[in-house]
Amino acid sequence: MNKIPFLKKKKVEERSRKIKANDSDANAAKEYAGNEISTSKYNLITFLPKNLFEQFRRLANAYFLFLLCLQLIPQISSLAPVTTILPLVFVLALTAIKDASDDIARHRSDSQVNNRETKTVVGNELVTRKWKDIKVGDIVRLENNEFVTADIVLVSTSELNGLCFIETAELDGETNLKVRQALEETCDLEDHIDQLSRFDAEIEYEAPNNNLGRFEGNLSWKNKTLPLKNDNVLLRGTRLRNTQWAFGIVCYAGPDTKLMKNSGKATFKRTKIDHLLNRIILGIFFFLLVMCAIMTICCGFWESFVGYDFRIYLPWETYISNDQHIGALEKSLLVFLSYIIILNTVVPISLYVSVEFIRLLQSKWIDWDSKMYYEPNNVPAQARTTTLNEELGQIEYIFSDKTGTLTQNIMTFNKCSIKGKVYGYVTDEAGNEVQDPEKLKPIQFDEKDDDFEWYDHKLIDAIKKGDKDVHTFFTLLSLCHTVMPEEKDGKIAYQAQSPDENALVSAARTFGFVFVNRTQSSISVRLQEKDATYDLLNILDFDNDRKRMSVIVKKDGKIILFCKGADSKIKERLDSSEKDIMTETDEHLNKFATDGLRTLCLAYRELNEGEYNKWAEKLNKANTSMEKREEKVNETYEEIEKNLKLIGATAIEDKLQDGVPQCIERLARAGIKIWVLTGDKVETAYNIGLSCRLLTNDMEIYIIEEENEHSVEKKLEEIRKQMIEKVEQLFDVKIEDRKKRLDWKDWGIDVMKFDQHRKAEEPNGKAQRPNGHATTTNDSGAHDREQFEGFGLLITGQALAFALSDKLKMKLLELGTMCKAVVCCRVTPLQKAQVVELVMQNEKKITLAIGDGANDVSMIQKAHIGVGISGQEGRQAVLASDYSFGQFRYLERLLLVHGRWSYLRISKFLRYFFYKNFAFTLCHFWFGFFSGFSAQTLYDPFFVATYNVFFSSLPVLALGVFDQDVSADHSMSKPPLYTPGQNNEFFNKKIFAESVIHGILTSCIIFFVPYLSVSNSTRPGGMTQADLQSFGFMVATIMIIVVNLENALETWYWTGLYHFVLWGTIVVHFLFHFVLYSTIIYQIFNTNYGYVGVAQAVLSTGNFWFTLFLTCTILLLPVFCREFFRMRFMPTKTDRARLNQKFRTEEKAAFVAHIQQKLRQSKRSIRSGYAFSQQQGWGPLITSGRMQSKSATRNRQQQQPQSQNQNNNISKSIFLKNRKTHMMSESSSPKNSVIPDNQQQHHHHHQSPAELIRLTPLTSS
Amino acid sequence: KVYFYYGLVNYYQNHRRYVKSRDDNQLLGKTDAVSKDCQPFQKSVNGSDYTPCGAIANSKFNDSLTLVFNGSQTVPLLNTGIAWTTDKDVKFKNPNNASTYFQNNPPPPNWKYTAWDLDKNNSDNNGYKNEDFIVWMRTAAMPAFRKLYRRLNTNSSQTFQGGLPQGNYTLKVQYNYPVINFSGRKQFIISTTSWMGGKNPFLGWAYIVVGIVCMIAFVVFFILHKTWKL
Repeated sequence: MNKIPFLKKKKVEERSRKIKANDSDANAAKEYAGNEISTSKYNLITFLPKNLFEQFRRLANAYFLFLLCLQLIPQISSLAPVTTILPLVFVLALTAIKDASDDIARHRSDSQVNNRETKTVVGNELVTRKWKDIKVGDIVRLENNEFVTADIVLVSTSELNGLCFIETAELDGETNLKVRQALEETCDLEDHIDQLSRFDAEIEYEAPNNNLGRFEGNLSWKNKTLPLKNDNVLLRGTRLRNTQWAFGIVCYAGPDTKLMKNSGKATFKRTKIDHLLNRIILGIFFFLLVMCAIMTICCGFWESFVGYDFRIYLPWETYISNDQHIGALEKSLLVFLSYIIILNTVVPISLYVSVEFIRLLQSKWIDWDSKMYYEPNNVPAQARTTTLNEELGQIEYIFSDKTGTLTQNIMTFNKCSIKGKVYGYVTDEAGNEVQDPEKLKPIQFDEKDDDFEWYDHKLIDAIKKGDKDVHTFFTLLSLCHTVMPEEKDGKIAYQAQSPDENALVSAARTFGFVFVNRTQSSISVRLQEKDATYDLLNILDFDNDRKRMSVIVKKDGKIILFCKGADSKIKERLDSSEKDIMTETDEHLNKFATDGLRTLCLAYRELNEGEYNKWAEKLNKANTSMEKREEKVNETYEEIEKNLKLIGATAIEDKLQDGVPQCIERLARAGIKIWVLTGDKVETAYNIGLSCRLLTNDMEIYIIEEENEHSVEKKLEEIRKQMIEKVEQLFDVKIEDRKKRLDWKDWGIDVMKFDQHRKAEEPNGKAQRPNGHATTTNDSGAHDREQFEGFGLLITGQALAFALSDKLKMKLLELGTMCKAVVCCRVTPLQKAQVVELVMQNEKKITLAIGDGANDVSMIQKAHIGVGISGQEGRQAVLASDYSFGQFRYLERLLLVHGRWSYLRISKFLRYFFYKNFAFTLCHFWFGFFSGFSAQTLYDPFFVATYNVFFSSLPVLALGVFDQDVSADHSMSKPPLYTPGQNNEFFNKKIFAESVIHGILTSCIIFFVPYLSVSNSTRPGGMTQADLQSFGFMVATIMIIVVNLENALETWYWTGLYHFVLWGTIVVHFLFHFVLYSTIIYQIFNTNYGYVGVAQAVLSTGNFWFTLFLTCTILLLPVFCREFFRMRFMPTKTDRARLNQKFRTEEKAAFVAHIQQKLRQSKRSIRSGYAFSQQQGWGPLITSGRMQSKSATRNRQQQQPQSQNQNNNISKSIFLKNRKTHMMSESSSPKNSVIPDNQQQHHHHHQSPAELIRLTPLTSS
Repeated sequence: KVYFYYGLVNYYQNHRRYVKSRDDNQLLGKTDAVSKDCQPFQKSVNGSDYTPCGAIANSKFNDSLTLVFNGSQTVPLLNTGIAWTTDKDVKFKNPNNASTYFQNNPPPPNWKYTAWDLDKNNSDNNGYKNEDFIVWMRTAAMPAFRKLYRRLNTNSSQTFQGGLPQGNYTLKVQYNYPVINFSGRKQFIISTTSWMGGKNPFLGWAYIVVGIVCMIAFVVFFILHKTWKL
């Protein structure tokens, strides 16, 4: 860019734009922004001033600049300015280097994007240009699978009718293809360059804005004015798909594109500790002012009573009044500033840098963690924000998406029911279901999806036998859909709108019913090696109300309607003669649902010609009617979709991701409450909740699905009452104030250990069972008593809308916080964010939102921490997130290991940091009382400058980067260790106060012990020891040793590096000062350092070493004692865990038991609920002929989207594993009961979801 | 070995402006213009630098103390070997042509004679390299301090070969150095040293107390540790 950035012209706000195609001069005159983008902040010239300006805008840096200015005034400067310049420059340079490298990366990516090439029409030919040279008004040619150069208005495309397909994953995260269309009038230009170059349309359209869904403009050409809509525009950031080429006119370029207009800065998140830190620093600053004020007052007195008389040896400065009191006052005021300078180390500049540095490295631990690397997709964990790590150790609420987050979002055809016969279950000779995966062998197919496994030979046999029903079943599957075929490497790949449809069509193909191609009016299939073509008469498309779709096809004169849809909708439309078969199928559906499968019913109807023609006419009328078209069309659909004959039902598996149940279970044990926010139905959500162990059968589960405000309110009240009853009944709690907000803590109940707080079973046999029956015997004992694992809450989106109102939201929150798990179903993205906000604002707890899709972005941005899963739904969530990885289960490691450690480390770091700076700085304060409050430094000024940067920084950085209480495995196996973070136990105001007091006491000892020991003593050679330089060096050396030993005591995790850094720091202190205080300096600089000879003189006296040892003992012994007594008498969870890790004995056993228990738990069904695709279908596009691909005729190379295939590969192995574990669950259950510890063991519930819903609240088994 | 000290109490050698008020380069024998740090004892009225400059030098202790044994014999004292060797060898050097230099430049206002008159008998102990001066220039850390004044010359006479014999000693003070007006006090201390230096009761007592505490802690820890069941 040859513009000088700071001389940019201020632009007049645009109202609208008017451009002319192929008239570059006229367009250039308008001075619209070119297509070059620049996301970088600096260039070579502006870097220094701009970066410095940015840095000094930070309060801390500005403060140090202020200090520096003070130091430059010799009258008050108590320290050489170098003491501030050195650290300040260090800090500024470090930040500047980081900023510069970030900016270089941005420059690189900018230039990479700017130098992408695209073809434009120039004169009569196509010229390849770089993106940055594209101007508004240029006609560009886009190729298949290329990113769109800028925002362009389509002119013509390779497809019929000027259609083209785009993928908008980069823009909104949706991976499904969308259709755009050129204006009918212009699409005839096709790729005739000569015509295109003569194309001289004028386009008038709105000024650049950030609305992705709207475009308004007019195209005037050949005396016609044609309206332009969003459909006619391709946006930058999208990618051309399934379209060989497309021509378009650039309308917005570079910074004006909607993509760039939307890339607003993400909100800057700060952690809880950051906020606390800010307040603490303000407090410290206040403390500093108080200290300075004390010194000022004392100085005033001292100068007027002592200093005034001492003037014979030390006259006051000439600018000070000679009057005793006025002069003293003036002097004391100057001393105030001097003391600010020397005491400023209590708010050390290195604090911010150190914290940032530690967080950066902690983020690297996350980035580099191979255990969070998802190999199949090549997705490493990524800390996209480096400043939030410790908050990962304080999470109390997790808000999770379901699809793609808990589940894989991969659907496979799993079971089916055809005319009352169920297929998919394998039975042995005795008719029992075989579930041992070892005995199951998947059947080999010629062509199948990678995920697909089928075990049941009965279905194959039926197909081979030519069973008519089975044939109809699969024919329907191959005909009734809106899938688009694509040929790729000689194979047919399907492009479907929902994964469900893809699964069904693919399954049909696998069984030999291949959907080959479709045109506007026909569908070609290959049924059992026989090609057949059906005339496609109508597609009655899917929508969320209809929850079904139908096709009407004609073959050999027979007109048939095929329909598939949600069971409830199909059931209503069945012929009355189908009752019996429906009852049977219903049973199967229930069985499927219990297995957590998504189900659909299939039906058909034969139509006679006359009937159809009459209906078609009606439909035509409805389609052309001007008002209420949609309603009328739907009504017409209803008319024909009746008297259906049921063929059967399909069951699709929506697989849970690996390790999700275990992960959720452990997170729950870590005291984290998990709220699942999903778009699914209540039943589905409930089943998912069960299968991922979010909900268990021993939980009290309440469901809110009321549909108006009043009943929601009533329901909330009712649930609250039930909760109170339950609590009073189970626990020894009397809730007197019923109005008061419910809170487990008020009753002293630890949510993690309900069993400990339970009412003792009364031995006299009068104990009441929850259902009201008095138990007559007590032999049931503790084993038999009702299990209670807490409350669970399900709420639908509709009820949520009311519950989130101002009036009810606190009630909802109260119930929600009482629950271990909350599931919100059918929620919109906005509601997701609202729920997060509700908890965040009112609970003052740290929240984490995790999701993978564009619909999760709002909550990811809202929550304290947003986690994105790089899944199938594009990268939008990842881009908005603070942390990202490939699988939900890594969340456990992120929180329980990295988060916990980060919190522990940063807490210990801060604790220690304040301690060491108070210890260091307060010595100046004490010394003030001996030096006439003159702001004389005790230490060598050079030491003051380097103490924080060199002589105490490395060990504390090592502490903040490497320290850990227990190993990663232990952290994972002991989730309760996580709770201290939630309660801010490691760093809070109390701990801060303790460390400050510790620091102050330390400074006292470090100052006064050497003072007493040295002040009147002499060296063996007779010289006195108490000169200022020796004393200062002595205190400094003791300080370094004590402070670093204290650091060693704080450190739990000793590594070679830590040893090196710790002892190295101490050794370097001695070496450095030996050199600095030697004559070497004279040889180099031809002048002496003022402290020459001091190190030698001090270190050669026994007095010093005895004092050092004495001081260390006095300071460290109490710390030892405190640690010992705490370990002995009131060990914290962490202490226990550390001891256990050290003395493994019992722990090993417990650990093994825990692992066994984990294994048992994993032998559960890992499958989830069911639903229908939730999007509007492609029906209208297909029938209108707009979507018809030319692929069949042109026979061109097509790239299939890569992601789909890749994911298929991965999930194969996972699926196998899941399958195994599932199969084992039932067969091995008798064995399980032998294992004594059955507290965690739950019998899997085999009730249909429908039944479950009716029992509100559910009674436990 | 016997050492003689003078002590000053309520004397603020550690005051910031006092500590600062010197020019180490001048004391190294460099004859450039002195640093402004020496203010207000930087230059005399006629504009030439004080030699040496600064408040520390200007306020050099100048009482002369002599000790008389049994009313007649003056105790022989050495005025060398009382400063740090590094100070004497490295930090303080006289300029070239020291005698003319010191004559041409004024001494600090409080001084009655030039630096070259500090020890006329020993040119190695004269000017900036005068050890009394060097000792004074090493500023004390506390407002109550002592500085090594003289050491006993054990070689000059039989009487003092083994130190100071028992007897009556008279201290003769030539009083030049006023301390009354700022309530200061002067002390004269006679001391011997061991391998650890002079008498230091604080360290002794502190070690006894801390040692006892450590013993108690040891016993308690030991018992607790033995009875500790994990």
